[in-house]
Amino acid sequence: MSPPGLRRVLVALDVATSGGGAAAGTAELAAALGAELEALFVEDVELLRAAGLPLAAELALPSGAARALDREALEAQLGAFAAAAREALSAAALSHRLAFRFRVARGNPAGEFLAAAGPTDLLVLGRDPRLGRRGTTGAVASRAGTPVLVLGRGGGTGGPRWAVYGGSPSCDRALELAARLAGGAAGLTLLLAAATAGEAEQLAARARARLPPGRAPATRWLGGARRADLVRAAGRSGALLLMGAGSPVLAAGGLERLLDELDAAVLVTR
Amino acid sequence: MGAALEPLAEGALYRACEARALPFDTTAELEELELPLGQERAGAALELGAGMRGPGYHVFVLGPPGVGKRTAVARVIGRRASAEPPASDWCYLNDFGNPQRPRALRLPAGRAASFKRDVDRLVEDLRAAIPAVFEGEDYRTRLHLLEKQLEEEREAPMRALQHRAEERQVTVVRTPVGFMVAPVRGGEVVDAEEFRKLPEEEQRRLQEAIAAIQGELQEALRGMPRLDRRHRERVRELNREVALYAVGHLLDELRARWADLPEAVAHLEAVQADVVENVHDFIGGTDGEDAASQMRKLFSETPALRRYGVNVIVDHGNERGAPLVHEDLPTYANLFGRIEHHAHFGTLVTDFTLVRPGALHRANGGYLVLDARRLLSQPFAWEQLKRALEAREIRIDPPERLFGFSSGASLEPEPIPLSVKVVLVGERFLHHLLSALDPEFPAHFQVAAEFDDEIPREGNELAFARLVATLGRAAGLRPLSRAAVARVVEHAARLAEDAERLTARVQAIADLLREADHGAAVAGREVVAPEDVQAAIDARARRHGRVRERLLEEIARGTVLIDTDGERVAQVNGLSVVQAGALPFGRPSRITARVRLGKGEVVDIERQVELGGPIHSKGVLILGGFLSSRFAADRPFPLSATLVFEQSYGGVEGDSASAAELCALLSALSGLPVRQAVAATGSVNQHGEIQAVGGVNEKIEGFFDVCRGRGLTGAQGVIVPRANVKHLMLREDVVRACAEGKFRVWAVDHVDQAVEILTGVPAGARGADGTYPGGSVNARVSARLGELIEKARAFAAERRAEEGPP
Repeated sequence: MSPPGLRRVLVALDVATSGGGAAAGTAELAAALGAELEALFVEDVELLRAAGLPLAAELALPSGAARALDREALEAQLGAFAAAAREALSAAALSHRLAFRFRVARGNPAGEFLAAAGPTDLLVLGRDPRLGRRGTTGAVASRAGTPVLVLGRGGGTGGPRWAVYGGSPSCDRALELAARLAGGAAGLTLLLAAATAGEAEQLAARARARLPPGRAPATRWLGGARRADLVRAAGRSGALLLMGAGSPVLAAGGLERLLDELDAAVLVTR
Repeated sequence: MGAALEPLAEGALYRACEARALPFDTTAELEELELPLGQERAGAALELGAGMRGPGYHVFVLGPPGVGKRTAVARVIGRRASAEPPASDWCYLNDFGNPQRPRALRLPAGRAASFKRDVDRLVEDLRAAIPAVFEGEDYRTRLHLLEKQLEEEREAPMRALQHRAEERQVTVVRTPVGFMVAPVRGGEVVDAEEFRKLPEEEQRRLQEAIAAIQGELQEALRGMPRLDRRHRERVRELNREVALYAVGHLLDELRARWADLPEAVAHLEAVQADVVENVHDFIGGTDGEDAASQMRKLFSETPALRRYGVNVIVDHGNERGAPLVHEDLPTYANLFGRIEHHAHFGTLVTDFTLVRPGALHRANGGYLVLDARRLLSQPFAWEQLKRALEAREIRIDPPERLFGFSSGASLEPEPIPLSVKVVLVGERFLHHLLSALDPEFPAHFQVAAEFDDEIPREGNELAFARLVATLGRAAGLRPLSRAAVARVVEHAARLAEDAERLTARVQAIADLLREADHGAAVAGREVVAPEDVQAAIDARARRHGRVRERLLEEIARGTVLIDTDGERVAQVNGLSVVQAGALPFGRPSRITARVRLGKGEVVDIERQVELGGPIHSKGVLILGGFLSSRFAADRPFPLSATLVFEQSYGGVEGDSASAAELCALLSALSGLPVRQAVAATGSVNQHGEIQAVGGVNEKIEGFFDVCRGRGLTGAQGVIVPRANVKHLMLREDVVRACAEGKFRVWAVDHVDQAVEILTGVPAGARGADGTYPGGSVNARVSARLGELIEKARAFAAERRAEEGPP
């Protein structure tokens, strides 16, 4: 049984963010949730526009060598890109016996992703590129009305499951999802986002009460409730950090900045 | 000649050992004997060889098999080795700079194993310590900072580039395989139609901006590898620092422990340097390694951490004294070591841990005992041994390199300095062959310790009894009674073929003792009795007597023609020894002679058909010399004689039948018949003197057995050289028959004595006038020669008449 509202894992793919880099991890996640797997590849119209310009040229990686690029050649590249992503995700889905769909759309990636994501989806996003137009990941993650998983900087879905708990309803949902993905409370680490140790104690008690009975999770106080406290505590953990959109560490539009500062995979529930 | 020659008395046929003279009841009372008995010369040479230092003083112990050479070597060399200091231990270590050439490390005796233990423990500790520091928070923080630094170094110019691009109203967009730079209006990329609508000036400006940003982007991309390289170097430096921290404190302890051995410390330093450079080998994961380096590691010939090991090839830790090594199978590999290989992904690979020692390694600093025959029969072993002794180092070369074809890159372990005393044990002929044919041999083996086949009997019987006691105790046998020992002593004399000497072949005596002990056990005796000894001797003779018995049987059936009664002209029973199997036996042979007019030659038919050896032919030629000098010193010798060993098909060698052959010739010339009841043995010289021969006991016994089979008549007997009387140790039944007058043994000095016995006619001494007494053998021979001379003259006159005047 999937948790209420999560029946599909939607992998958002475009050239810049390349969210298909963690096919195996994503499929594993979908299997753990009992959800089906779908991928949406968006051909960025801006890219196609650029390729239609006179004297359009591409600087190829990794050498930077320049070569002419027209729209037809770009479409061929996009087709190959999509095929490779489809193949990887399809194989991963097959290994977990998941239902799998792959769609291709043309438009603005952020808009297409937001439009495609329904209330029962977990939207999986890659990271903005280091060079080039940025903002797709942050914008989609912030504006989406569904849970969003932003892959780690290396493209992974993270190792251990760490729930960042701040006591809000969205945090409760993040906690439940984290426990589910961790295979139970015992496999979970609880990061308490509280200003004081006393508050952390209270949060821990509340969190334990919301978890199914059994071995209690490991708990750790962040030493504060700010974004910086989380970055300091989990910056190099390699874990999948699950948090609610209402978590104090994401206060004041902090998600986009958190994604800039944190390399780890982040899953935000609404 | 004088009166008829008397046969030998019973006492001359066998020299008994007087049991009463032996001062003990059983051998249990006797002290053990320091072997070898009566081999003082060999023992002194062995002591000298063992003690002499310096190159070339290796020892060759030579002598017949079974005389106790190895036992003596073990005692003499073993005693000396045990008093000397233990030899060094040796290890092979990886040379981190040149793994194909493993380094040799000498350590004091007993310390190699502890060095290996220490290094193994160090590696084990490093396997725990290094991952611990690399997984620690401090390291991860520093690594993260470096990664952040790289990220900033990569992103900062990109951000600046993007910023500059936006200032010029262009932007960088990502394509599937690279980047494009495109103009923007209102935050969106301008399409082609919109671009064409722009004023030309604006288009040109944007084109220039695009070109400029592209140029900067290219420059930035080309700089990325440099940033990555710098980052990797920073990570490496961090790893070195952290690894050094992890290794350093572990090594400090070891350095202190091995401070007295600078070479060991040097290896520890090399290990540290290598660990620091290859710290990833100690970390379980493959973080930081690309696929290529992972594959290299997978296919690497040496598993990563094995290269820090210590291959102890010689460990003298549990030994006292210098090593004494006996290598029974001195193959090339067993002597000089070998380099083993193991299969790795379908190919054979090796490394320093697979270097295996040879006997020279184990004996280095001590003594190495080798069997010369086995050594010489092994390919390359002898040549390589000389090379090692010459160079004074042990070099492990794969055999294929010696053959001249190499199997590709292989190890070349560092040679190990060699200081060893080599003791070769072998037969005399090997020593003689090597001395004659190998010019390098004398330079290396200057000491020859030669063992005798026999020892004097006089004064040594008691010592021999102690030898019997020593051998018996060593084999866990029952004690022997005094009488049994006496019988063993007598048998030892018989084995020596000399009543005055005893065999030195300890092995033969040990075998006899074991077999006699078995007989005593079967009889339920606690002490071995003389009858047990005799039974063992008889049983051995029976076991090995098949050929002898078949021969006797064929003589009895008349297949092999031997007369033992009656008289025949020009036919004498000669005697030879057949060496078939372990025990030799005597065989009578009919020797016949024919004479006719000729050119003064005695023809050896055996030689003509290449069945006779050179010594036999020499003996026959001597006969011609004797006959011509005695009977034709001043006249022609127109005689042609032929001699043959009848029914001899296996070849004849030796001159021991020459006396019998001469008697057959004299009979043929004189026309006097020879008594077939008598056989003769002995060699003869040109003066007619009878000389000693070998195997006299077997020869007498061989003719005795034939005669006994047909019935002893009292007329039968054997003529032997007087010089052989001291060798007589005849079988008890032969001696008894002689004592009872049923068989006889005559000892002669001259052929005239032999021919008198054989013909019953006096030989006849030459008178002052040069003639012999009428009717004597010699007178008849002389007369016959005279007839032949006359006939020769007549033939010569006829031929001249036929040919006419010149």
